[in-house]
Amino acid sequence: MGQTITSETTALAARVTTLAEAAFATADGLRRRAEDLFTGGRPASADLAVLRPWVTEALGGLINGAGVITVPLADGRPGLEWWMGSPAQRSRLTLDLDPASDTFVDVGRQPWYSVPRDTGRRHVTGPYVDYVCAEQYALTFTVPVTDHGTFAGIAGADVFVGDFERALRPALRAVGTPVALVNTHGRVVAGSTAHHLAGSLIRDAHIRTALLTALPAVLPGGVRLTPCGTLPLAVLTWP
Amino acid sequence: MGTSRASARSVVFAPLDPHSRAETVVRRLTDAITFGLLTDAEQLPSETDLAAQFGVSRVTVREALVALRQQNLVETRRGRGGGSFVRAPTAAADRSLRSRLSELSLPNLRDTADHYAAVAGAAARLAAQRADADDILRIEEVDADVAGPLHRMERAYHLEVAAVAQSARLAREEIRFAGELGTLLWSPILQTADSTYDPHAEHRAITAAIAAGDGDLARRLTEEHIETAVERLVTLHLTLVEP
Repeated sequence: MGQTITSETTALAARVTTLAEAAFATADGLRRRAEDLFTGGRPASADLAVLRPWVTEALGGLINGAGVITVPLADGRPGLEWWMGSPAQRSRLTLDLDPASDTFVDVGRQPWYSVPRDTGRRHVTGPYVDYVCAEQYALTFTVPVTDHGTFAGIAGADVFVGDFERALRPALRAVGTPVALVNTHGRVVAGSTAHHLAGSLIRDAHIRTALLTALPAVLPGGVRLTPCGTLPLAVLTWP
Repeated sequence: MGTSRASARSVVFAPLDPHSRAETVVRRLTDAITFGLLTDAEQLPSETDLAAQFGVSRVTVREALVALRQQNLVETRRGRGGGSFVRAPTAAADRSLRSRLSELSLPNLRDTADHYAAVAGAAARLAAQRADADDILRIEEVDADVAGPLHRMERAYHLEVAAVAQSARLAREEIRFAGELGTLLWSPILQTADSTYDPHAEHRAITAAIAAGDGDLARRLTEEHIETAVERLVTLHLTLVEP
């Protein structure tokens, strides 16, 4: 008890925050462009095509997918302008929105859509298997798009967990002791030991409870929890 | 092709053993329709002729036709030019199913199914290691929510299990197998042939094993779930290609 968080741990949490906030900034930029479309009344789904230059420009670096998905628009069809890949090799996402189809995607069921819709707040989904878009293990950063205060869709950015881990690697190594970046559910995003590989779940009840409170804490066994800003992510270190 | 189709057709109308009932008539005609031995809009022999050919009573034939009508596989028209006509499943689905069945080779099917059982079984084992309470809810939700044909429900269920396993590769394999094998393996024809079959009950048992964190059991139940479906498909195939 009373141990201080090392500066390396703080630096790791800060690095995570910087990367995540950059992804959110991308999503938020697209949100503003999308909301502009609603100022003169409800657009049609085809009108979202004007977002294309900004969406494709968002790709690159850690961002491997970005775009806007809306509620059904003036023509009764949802708006979808989402691109995947790198600036050099990119492809437009098409979703099967026919409920009678075998490959139907119920967007409303996906947490990256439903959480911003239901809470009105930004959300980090994952790490999760994104079988809707890139079929990759990913983190998805989404913000709600509103039309005069009413939910009208989401804008977001995808980061592959593998890329995120690579970007964090120097900061992870610098910590020295066993360390893992986890989400509030205890799912490991990146870790420094074979016990804490991406996707594994922290089952320790003390840790799981502490993660939900999202406050700095020292837990039984000397496990230390450092939140990453206001994100639903935290750094855990073991002695 | 012509002779094998003719001999296969004679198998369809071969006399049944005395213990068989309407169910067997239903099964044989259903199989024949699915496998394209009886084609869409083709007129079936009269009840009397069917009864004579199958070696059963007219009552049994009538009972079988009622069941086939309920499954929308047969349409009965009254009056002049009336009779019982084959109604193959929707043209497009039927064409694709038929062309795939014609390409079916048992060694290939076995190999594909083994691969699929390995993928789905491994996904279930990893899901048991990595699932939290929310994940279990998601799996249960998918299993309860998905309406429509069985192959769609199977695809959604096993894809969700692979997602809960946190494996993008296994999820991609699930998507691939659903396209390659799904409509065949979970064809409604297999279910009508076995009234005791309850895929939801099998899913519930797998989900319970995942929730209990019992990876070995989850894997075994998933493998059995797939093996049983494969056995049904193979049995059906063998019945139809019998000389």
